[in-house]
Amino acid sequence: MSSVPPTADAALTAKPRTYGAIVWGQLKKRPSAMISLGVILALALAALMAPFIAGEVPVRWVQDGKASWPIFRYLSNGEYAAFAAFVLGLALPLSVRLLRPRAERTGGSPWGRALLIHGAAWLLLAGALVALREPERRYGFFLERRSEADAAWFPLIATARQPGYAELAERDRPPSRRHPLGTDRLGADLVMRLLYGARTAMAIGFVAVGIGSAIGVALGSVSGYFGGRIDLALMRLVEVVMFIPQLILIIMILAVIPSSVPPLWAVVGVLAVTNWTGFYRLMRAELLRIRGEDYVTAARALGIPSWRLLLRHAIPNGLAPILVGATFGIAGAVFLEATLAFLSLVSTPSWGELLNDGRQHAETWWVWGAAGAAIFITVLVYNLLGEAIRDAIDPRLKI
Amino acid sequence: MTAPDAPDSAPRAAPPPAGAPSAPAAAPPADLLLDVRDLRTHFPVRRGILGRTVGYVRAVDGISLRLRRGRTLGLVGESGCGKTTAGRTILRLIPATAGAVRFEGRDVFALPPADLRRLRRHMQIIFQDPYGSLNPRMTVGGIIGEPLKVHRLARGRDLEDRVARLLEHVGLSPAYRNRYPHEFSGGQRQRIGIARALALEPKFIVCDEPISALDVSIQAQILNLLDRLQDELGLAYLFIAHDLAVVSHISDDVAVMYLGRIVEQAPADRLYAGPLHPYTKCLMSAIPRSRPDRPRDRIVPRGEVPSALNPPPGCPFHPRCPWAFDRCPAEVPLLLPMPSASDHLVSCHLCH
Repeated sequence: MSSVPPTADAALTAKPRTYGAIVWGQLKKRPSAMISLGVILALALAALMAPFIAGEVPVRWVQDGKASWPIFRYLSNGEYAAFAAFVLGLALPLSVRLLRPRAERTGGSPWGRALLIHGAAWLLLAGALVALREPERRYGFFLERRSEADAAWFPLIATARQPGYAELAERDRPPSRRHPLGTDRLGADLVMRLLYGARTAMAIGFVAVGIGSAIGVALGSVSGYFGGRIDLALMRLVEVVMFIPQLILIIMILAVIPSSVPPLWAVVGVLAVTNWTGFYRLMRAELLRIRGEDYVTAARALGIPSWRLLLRHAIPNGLAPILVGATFGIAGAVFLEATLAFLSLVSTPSWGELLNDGRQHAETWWVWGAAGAAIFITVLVYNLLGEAIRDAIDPRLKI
Repeated sequence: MTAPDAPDSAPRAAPPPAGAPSAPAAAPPADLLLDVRDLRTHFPVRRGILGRTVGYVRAVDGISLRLRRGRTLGLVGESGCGKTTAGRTILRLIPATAGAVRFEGRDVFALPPADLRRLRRHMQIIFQDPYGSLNPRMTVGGIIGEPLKVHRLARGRDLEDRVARLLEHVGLSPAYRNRYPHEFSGGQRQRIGIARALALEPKFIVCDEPISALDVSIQAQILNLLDRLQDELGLAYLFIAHDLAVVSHISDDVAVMYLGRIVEQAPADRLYAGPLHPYTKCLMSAIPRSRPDRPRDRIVPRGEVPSALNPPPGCPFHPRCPWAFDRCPAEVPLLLPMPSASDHLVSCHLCH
């Protein structure tokens, strides 16, 4: 089964270290980076598992000797998709490791194949979900009939999810055993509001930066590599886009969009189509450097087509600054979303909205305190991580 | 592998360049591989916000070269004389301003992109800097195997075998194929670059100062490797260097470049034995001797290299030439054969 040929050289027995492995080694040396990464992962996991942590739908419900698992009928398709993405994302490094021996024999990269397999699994899962699942939504039901159950496994914090349905008797409570962070003016549990706000923050951050960086990388690499008229036209476009104040554009768009469009998507859209300029300029500058490198000249001399040259030779060598920019960009997007919600421009569960609620009643310090702390910590950890990555990809590093 | 045209093993079967304009002084030899005619590469210098062109850097200013199959042509000159630009222009990696390059009779500059990509299989390049010439994100196997994949010459098991053979050919263990370039020394990386150039089984390789960046002890190894590969594979080299001693060791013919022009061209042994152009004499006298205690005539050119943006009138070398006379700044000397030897070309008023 051994795929590795016998080696003659002592240096060969050492494992090859990729650029990624070197950067990871540098990152691991920084406690602040590792703590930040841990906080980000914990936050993502908590946002993902929100219905299991705080809510009203029990995981298991036993009545008249019959057991059921209600929560799995209450989770939305989006939540299932997010679970699948998370699990497959965690499984990705594992599958790359499994595919590596085969890829090494053929001299390719295991990533393409792994991503293909994962993409297929993801699509299958999504299809099965859409075809087989019957969602059910009747809120309040389980909490009201709690006494009828023989046994029930409620989330850690059993509390009504709909603010309108909240236990009004429980409103404006400071932190207690039942509500670890207290409740707001309608009796909604703050842990729950923070968790669902984290979902908004994460979605905005990742989606807006993901789309923005993809646009920026694609246009920037074309612009920098080919130059000439394309470059000139794109640079002028970037100048126009950068000239538009983001906040005012968002406010304008929110005013004119039909109410059928969720405002959150409008915000993500505006962020994506205005945020790419930074990534574009980073990528363009990288390509201006890379296109003069000898390995690009070599690729041209070998007759490698332009698209392959860009994808395999040029772009992979220019992505490091994009990674740093994306990390800072997520922090910026979270901040902007909080600002918008604070100004009551979007009505999704959000930290900014929570902050605004708390602002009007200074005496309920736990409300604005929790929201402020959540925003502060999130922006802080993304900035710390971005800084650590920037240092780790230092060009003086031996690549 | 059989090429779409004449295979490597039959160098004399090549057709003569068809319809070559303005017949040169000597009839083209039957095994002519590369014919460079009056090549010029000028880079525009742009200034101001409107990007107005204020002048041209005449990096290559009218050079003509000929290279036969399996032979080596040395191209020597100091830094900035345009020898690297010349090599890259010949491969159409830099657009030429004027002139023509014929490879096996085909006009390289006139080829449509698809034909050019096919032609690239036959002409390759080796770089000076072994650190910048390999993509740091690809494994050695990926770097060497990619041209084979792109040109659909091999895949799967066959691809692996060919990569392994190429690595062995340049003196590296095939087990290195999964490693990344940064794990290798300069000499090893240069071998990887050579293996990449050899992957497509070219007939012609531009060696762009392939040993200048290496330790002296490694230089000889790489030179010997290039020499061996030439014998085994029948390669033709355009060997670019700034060291006349190295070039005359490996080359059949040597062309000396100064400020974008060829000032002297001759078979290596003749040039080495009796250089005629003052610039060549200067270069020659700069070669370190094995007996430094013996007296020798050191000829040092005056001043600095003039700018290629604004070259001096007449002979480009006249401001620095120890023997310059009144005709030199007035009249551009032509590259003409010596009466005594038709294959020894000199561009100097002292000789003609």
